Amino acid sequence: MVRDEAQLYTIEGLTAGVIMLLTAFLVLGTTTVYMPGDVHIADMQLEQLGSDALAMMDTPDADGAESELARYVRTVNASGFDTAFTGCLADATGTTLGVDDIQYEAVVYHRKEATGEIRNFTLASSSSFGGRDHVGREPSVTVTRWVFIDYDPPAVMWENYAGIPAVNRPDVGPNARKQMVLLEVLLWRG
Amino acid sequence: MKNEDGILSVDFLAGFTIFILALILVINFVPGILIGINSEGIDYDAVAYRTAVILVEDPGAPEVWEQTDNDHKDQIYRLGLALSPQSPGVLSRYKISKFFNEPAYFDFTVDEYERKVIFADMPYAPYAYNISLAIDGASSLSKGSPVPEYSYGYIRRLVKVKEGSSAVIDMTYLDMANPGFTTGRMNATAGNFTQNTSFTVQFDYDELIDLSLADAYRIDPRRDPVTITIDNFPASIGNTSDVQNITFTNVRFFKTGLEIPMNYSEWNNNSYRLYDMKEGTATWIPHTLNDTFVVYDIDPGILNTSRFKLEFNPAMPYSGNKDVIFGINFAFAYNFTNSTHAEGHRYIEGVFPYDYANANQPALRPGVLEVAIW
Repeated sequence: MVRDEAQLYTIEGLTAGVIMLLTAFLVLGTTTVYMPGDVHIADMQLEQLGSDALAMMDTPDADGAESELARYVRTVNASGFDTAFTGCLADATGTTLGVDDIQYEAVVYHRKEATGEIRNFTLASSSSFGGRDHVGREPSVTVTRWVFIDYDPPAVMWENYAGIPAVNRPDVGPNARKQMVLLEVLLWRG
Repeated sequence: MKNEDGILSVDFLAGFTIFILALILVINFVPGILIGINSEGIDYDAVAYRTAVILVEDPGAPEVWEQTDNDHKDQIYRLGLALSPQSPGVLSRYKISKFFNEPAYFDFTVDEYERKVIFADMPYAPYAYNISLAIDGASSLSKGSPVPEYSYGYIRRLVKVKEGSSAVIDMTYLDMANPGFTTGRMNATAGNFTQNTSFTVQFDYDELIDLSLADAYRIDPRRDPVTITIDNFPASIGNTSDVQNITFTNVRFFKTGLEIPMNYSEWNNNSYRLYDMKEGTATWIPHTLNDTFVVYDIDPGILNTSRFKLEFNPAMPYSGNKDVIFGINFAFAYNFTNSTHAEGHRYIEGVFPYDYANANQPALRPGVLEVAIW
């Protein structure tokens, strides 16, 4: 036989229901749910901007001329690359109020003719020009571009290579040649 | 005897009802977790990105939509600013002018921008937009509403802009070696007399439309504006006491040596425009191709012409046919005074080839395009 003794009095039941409602409302109302899609949108915008900047720097002013980007890579011109690249990133029409503080690190990957090894050196980074290092916690994106170094003597090849550690230096002297190198730029906000 | 006792007490029912109500309300909160996906604002960034891709990487449909006349703008299906499908990121200056209606021509409505660029013609997805473009640091061109302070989708694209080509024929260098361009000489003749002369600017389309050059670097009269400027015209006059006056007679178009019959009296500002500028002023005065006006007079009280300018909007006449050599003939009448000179009376004539050696194809200019959608 079912006992007809209640376990909760009505007023307690009502109170329990109200408490559940309030709890659920507080929990769901205060939590900021950061969907993965939002992160991807911010990443996509930064990646597109970086890709456009490299593409525009690699577009020559005249047919057959050396592009600005190829010249900076060929002469290992960090300051020139920094000025041009950050100038592109900061360019805007002025119709929006957004403020960007984009940092970067640009690395060139090249192949050694004698050994076939792939070596790399840092072309430029924002930390060298008043910016900040990437400490690892900032979400970042990578943009890459193949750059054709059309070495045509007497043009100077790898003009400022002395600052690059010897093991990572690109081929100079008799092994200097036309080659494709990979420029990889890490971008992050902060 | 039958047991009529109930199984459920009233208290239980009341409590269970309250519990179920609470559970229902909590479950109704769950879809709110997915609010980022359900709200209509989730696709603002996607629409902004898509719009920027259409503007920056697509030439539009038809590909030369900018040459459509205003009466047939309904035949434009998609507005893109790219020079060609082979040159994404390089924009046509002429398309930019038509898109932003500067100078005024198409004047697309908000509805037309929504259908041809934003593709927001669905009633349940009305979008507001702002499209802006700044070229080489100049003040930006803009279409759409002012951007709100927050809650909008956004994309920024970096571009290059190809300007139209131009040639400046500087009369200061008339005596120097100038290929195809000479000064005429004639023996002095007693008495005042008039010499009719002309010089021609020639377009060899086969030479200009060089497909081995990329679109961004080609002088292409089919797609890009062409400007011819005759500068420092008074420098072409040798001895100023030798000339009573010089009259600009007309401009005529020639197709491979034959004059093109057309109405030269109409000032066609959709295809070409002729101007002159007087010395000491900075104002271009428009003319029809049949206008006759004095460009030089020995009377110091009359303002002389310092410069001429002829602008062509694409496509230049017959530029679709690479076999055509198109000539623009500038005709003058020189009224010489009754004087004699050992070097003879001087006037201009000859042919000036508009080619890659003489014409200037400006370097690509950097630009930035921003699209905001809300």
